[in-house]
Amino acid sequence: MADTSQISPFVFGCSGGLVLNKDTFSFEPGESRILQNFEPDIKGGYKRILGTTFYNSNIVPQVSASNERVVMSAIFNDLVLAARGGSIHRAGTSGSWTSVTTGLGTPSKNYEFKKFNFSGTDNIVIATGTSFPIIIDTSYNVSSVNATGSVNTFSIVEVFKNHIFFAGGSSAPQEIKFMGPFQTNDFTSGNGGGAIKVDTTIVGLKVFRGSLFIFGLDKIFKLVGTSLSDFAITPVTRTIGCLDRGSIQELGGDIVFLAPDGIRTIAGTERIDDVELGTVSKQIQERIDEVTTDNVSSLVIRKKSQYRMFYPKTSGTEASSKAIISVVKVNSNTGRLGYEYADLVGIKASSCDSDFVGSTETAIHGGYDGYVYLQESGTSASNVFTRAGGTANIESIYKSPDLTMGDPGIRKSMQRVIVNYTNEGLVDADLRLRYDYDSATTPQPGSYPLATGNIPAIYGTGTYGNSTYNQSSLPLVRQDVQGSGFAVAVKVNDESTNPPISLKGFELEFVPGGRR
Amino acid sequence: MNYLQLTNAVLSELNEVTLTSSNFASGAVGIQQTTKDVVNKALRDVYSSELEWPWLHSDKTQGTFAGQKEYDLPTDYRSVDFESFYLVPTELVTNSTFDSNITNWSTVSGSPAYNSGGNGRLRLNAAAASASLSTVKNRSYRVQVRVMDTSSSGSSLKVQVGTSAAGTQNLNTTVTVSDFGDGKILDTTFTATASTSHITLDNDDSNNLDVDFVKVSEDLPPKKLIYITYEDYRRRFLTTAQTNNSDHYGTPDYVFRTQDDKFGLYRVPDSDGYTINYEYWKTHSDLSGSTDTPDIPARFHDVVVARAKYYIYNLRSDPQFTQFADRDYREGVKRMRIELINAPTEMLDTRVNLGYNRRGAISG
Repeated sequence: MADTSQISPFVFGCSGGLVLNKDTFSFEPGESRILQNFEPDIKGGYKRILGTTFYNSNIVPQVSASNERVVMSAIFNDLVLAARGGSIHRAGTSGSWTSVTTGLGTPSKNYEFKKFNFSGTDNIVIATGTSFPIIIDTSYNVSSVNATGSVNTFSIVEVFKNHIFFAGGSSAPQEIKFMGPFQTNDFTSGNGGGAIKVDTTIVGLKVFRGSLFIFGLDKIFKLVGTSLSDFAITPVTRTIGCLDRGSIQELGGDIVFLAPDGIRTIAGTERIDDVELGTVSKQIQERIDEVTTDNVSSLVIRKKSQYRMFYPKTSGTEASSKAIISVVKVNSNTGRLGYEYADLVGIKASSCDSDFVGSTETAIHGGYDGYVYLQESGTSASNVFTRAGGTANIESIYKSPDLTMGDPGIRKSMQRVIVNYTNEGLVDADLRLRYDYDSATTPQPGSYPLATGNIPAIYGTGTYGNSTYNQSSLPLVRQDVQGSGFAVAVKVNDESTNPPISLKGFELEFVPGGRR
Repeated sequence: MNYLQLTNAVLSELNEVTLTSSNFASGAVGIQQTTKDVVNKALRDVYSSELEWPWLHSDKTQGTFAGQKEYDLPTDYRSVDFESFYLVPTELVTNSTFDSNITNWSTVSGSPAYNSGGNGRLRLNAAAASASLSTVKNRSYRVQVRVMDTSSSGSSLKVQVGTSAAGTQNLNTTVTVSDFGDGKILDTTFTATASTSHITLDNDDSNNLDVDFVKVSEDLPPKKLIYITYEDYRRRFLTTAQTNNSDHYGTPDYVFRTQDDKFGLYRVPDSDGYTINYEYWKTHSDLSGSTDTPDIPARFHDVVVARAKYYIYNLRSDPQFTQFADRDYREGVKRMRIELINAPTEMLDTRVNLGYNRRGAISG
């Protein structure tokens, strides 16, 4: 029998997501120093993201200039409403865009919308910031909310206890106005309408657990009650506000939003009333500091418990545009439920939405190029980012922490890496080892091809000639490797057009050496 | 293996990242650079483990100058075989063997040509060629010419020596090949009448006559120089040698080693026409470029690798593998000694007359 007594194994599972706030010795092995276009997988591990395709291959008609971005992309009545240049159009996944309304003014910020149903018919109310709010029904009839009390600069809207609330008026940024119950164009107090002021500029409104949360620039309030007669405001925190209303989403039974100190949950902030403990993004604070608020937009992908916050720079390219992926999942290494993060690079989203079309959860975004795109839509034949000018490969990178494997003082002569992953199709990724914190004075081996493991045949989805009968769904790939160092990091690059690979874990086999 | 391959052999055995020809010169880092260094260090160890490795053997030719008694040893020498010193008359013909061309031979008539037959020849077909020689008036010189009659024509080759090309003042003879398929060697002499003489080879016929070599040297017998110690030289000959008088000049009989990396001759040469031939073992140069190849035969390159591994394991504080590598190296050097430097089975004893050949067998 071969003597393997000198070889030491080091096993870790991929869990913990992107972590940027730890020193070398504090990292959990499963965490990532780089996690780009891999998402924390609720099934465990890190899964390469799916790409994008055109939601509709026709561009949303422009009004006056070709560089008008899509300032609203909303799923409504199983179609998409897209706003560009002061006009709103609707379309399905094919065919031309049909005009719904025009003359809404030249937009400077994204439109905000809320869907409601007061009378058995779905409606969507849209605050443009450059016109009186409008309401569109399922027949695409458009009505203006222009009754006395309304202003033509409302940019924030929310529906709470059968009342439609507006805020963001340019002349009274601290004021909230609301219409009476079930009213769609009546602000009079006699019919239950009214106005409320807070001592901060209102950034956003969001309903959560029977309360309307009012996000100010530096304060957060909570409105409770059911009508004009008992509406009451209480402060949630007077020290933290919200940076951009586009970041506010409901995820995993909580509200998440972008605060100056990171991504926060409203429950944590309300319960603790403590700046530090309400923040759930401390592990990526370095990335939070890079977030620009040129145009923040966000969506949730419910089936993945995932929140995506896009923060493109107006002048930036699509390839360099970034988003933060946040997933609520149980860390398999610690057993604790929490937020795990990743970077998404390559989508320049101008506005976005996610909702169900029929029974299918659909995530879309409008681009700066005038098109509306469907996210989570990469195919097994071509998992790419679709752009107006063509397609781009998804540059996916995973890099583990620099692992010292118990003793940073001894050299580890690497012998083998065993990769555990699942794949849904062909795999054409590169496995790399980086020694001694990617030191320029340590030889760094080239890439090792991470080839396709046998694809398990799943009834109804297996492909003849491609899938393997009776194959484990968790293949192990043993890769002999070279090099040595005091710290070792594993890196996987996948820039192929193949379906996503999901990295589950690694075993590093090494021979401990001396201390020189 | 070249330098790159030797380095990579060590790196591979350590399971380290190997180098390529493109990053070898300036892209080596860390253990790679260290390995490059220790490969040279290992080579130095192998070279130094024995004084007279065959692959370091070299020959040296040193011309004498009348009145000069000491000459520099080669700059790259590490050991000189003072038993190998021979004095021979200096070959006066430049390009006397036509190894690859007929350079230095002038056309007298026709079209002398180079022929690659044998080890290179001068072909004359209705043609004549000549070469100039530096001679001393009134001195006698030996001429040796080998000619091949490849067309079996029976033609004669004229061999002439004079004061100009095609001149016959000093020698005018012919050589004819009778044993076709073999050559004919002419041995003759002439006495020079000028400081510059010309030897001419002439074939008037339209047949191929191939000249294999032409050798001209002063009519002196080669002689082995006897090695004496420097102390012996000082005791016996130094006083005479330092006398400012040419009476003691002559054909050298002895060679000795000075104390400043030179060799000396006694008698002091009386002519520029002597050539001293001797053998020595050279030093080596460290490998530098990726394609540089060490002198050591390829079948022993593993010994170099073992020595380099010894240094690397030592660097990495791995005493067990250091010992393994050291053992491999020492056994490798032992094998090299057995194969390459077997001791002679007999030796010459010059102290007493043991008989007609004075040889005694070594036993034990």
